[in-house]
Amino acid sequence: MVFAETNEGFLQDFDLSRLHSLRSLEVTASSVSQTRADAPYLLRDVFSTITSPEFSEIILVFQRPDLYRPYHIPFDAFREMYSKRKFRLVFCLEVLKKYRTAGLEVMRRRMDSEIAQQRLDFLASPPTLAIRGRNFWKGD
Amino acid sequence: MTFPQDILEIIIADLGNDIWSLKAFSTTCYSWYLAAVPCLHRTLTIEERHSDPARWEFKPLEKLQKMDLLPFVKKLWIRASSYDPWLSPRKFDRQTLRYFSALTTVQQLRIERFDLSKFMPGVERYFGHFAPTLQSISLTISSGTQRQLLYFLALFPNLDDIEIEYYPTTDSGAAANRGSEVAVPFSVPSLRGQLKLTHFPSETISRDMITLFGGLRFRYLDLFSVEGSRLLLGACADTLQTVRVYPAIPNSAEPTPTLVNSY
Repeated sequence: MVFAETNEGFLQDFDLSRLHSLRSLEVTASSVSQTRADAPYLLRDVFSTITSPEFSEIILVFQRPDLYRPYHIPFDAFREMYSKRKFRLVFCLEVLKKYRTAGLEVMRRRMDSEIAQQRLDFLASPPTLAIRGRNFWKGD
Repeated sequence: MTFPQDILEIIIADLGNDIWSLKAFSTTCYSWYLAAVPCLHRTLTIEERHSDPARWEFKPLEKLQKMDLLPFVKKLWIRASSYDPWLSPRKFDRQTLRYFSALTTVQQLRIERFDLSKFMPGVERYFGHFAPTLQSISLTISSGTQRQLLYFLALFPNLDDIEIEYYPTTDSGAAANRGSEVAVPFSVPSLRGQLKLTHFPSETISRDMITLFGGLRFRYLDLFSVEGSRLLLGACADTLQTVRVYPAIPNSAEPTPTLVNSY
């Protein structure tokens, strides 16, 4: 088995209850929005295993292809998670440097649209925007 | 009148990796050139084929060596231009190896389509000089046995970050399970940074890494299509600060061996 093919397998693989220093949980926009209808619930169930007292944020990662696809981000699942435990939501653009300026503009518009449609009204403070390179090949 | 050095440093920091602007900046005067040189030559790309034949394979090394610029290289990217791995010991003649060995300040190494088995035994002859400084390694669509990969990683005691995208091991089933034949590692890498694995179909290698390297201490874990995720998570339980999860499989369940650095 390459992937955790069942929900149970996935949840066993990503039982985060042992991680005592966990601060952030990252998820890509594509993996939480596409393909599997139960993806948001898997994320919610993984989130529910977090016990670290230092946990404070969920980072929603947008890679370049994600910017131009009309994903529906399942914020209802995020709302449910937030009701269990408060967190900061970060919209993170993860692209090569040459795509950052254009990507940032798309991200900002997208975030504003989500806020205008009150999909993020459960958050105590608005989500923040972050940018970084695609991998640890730093500076790219 | 000399321009204040701290202002020059601010300008260079602002130019970042914009090579064309840095080149223009460096032509202003000699002191500006000296200030820009470390940035201009921070990244060295070596590739099999390039539109400019003067940049084929190891040719850039010779030029940098003659200008005494090799000590400025911090990031080395060995690129592939075709499907077949081109990098092999046969490409290192005496002079090329001498130039390559002069790269003694490299902190980040990225190799595409790296066939480790071609360098075994004796991989340290070609890559051992990176040991004191190398902090990050990135292997894309590389291959070799599990033992060869571990042996290679163990060359670098200061290694913190590991990124491996698509590593189809060439072990036979029996060889993969030979626990008693583990090569003694050169060193124990520090492994305190990021571990990013994509299409990594072997739990054995994760288990051996934990055993040989005395546990794992990564702070960041990104595992996509990886056997042994549970094991890796458990091994880093005391140090992990960030975990990336993929609740659904984007696009395809089949590994796709394409280079992904273009986006």
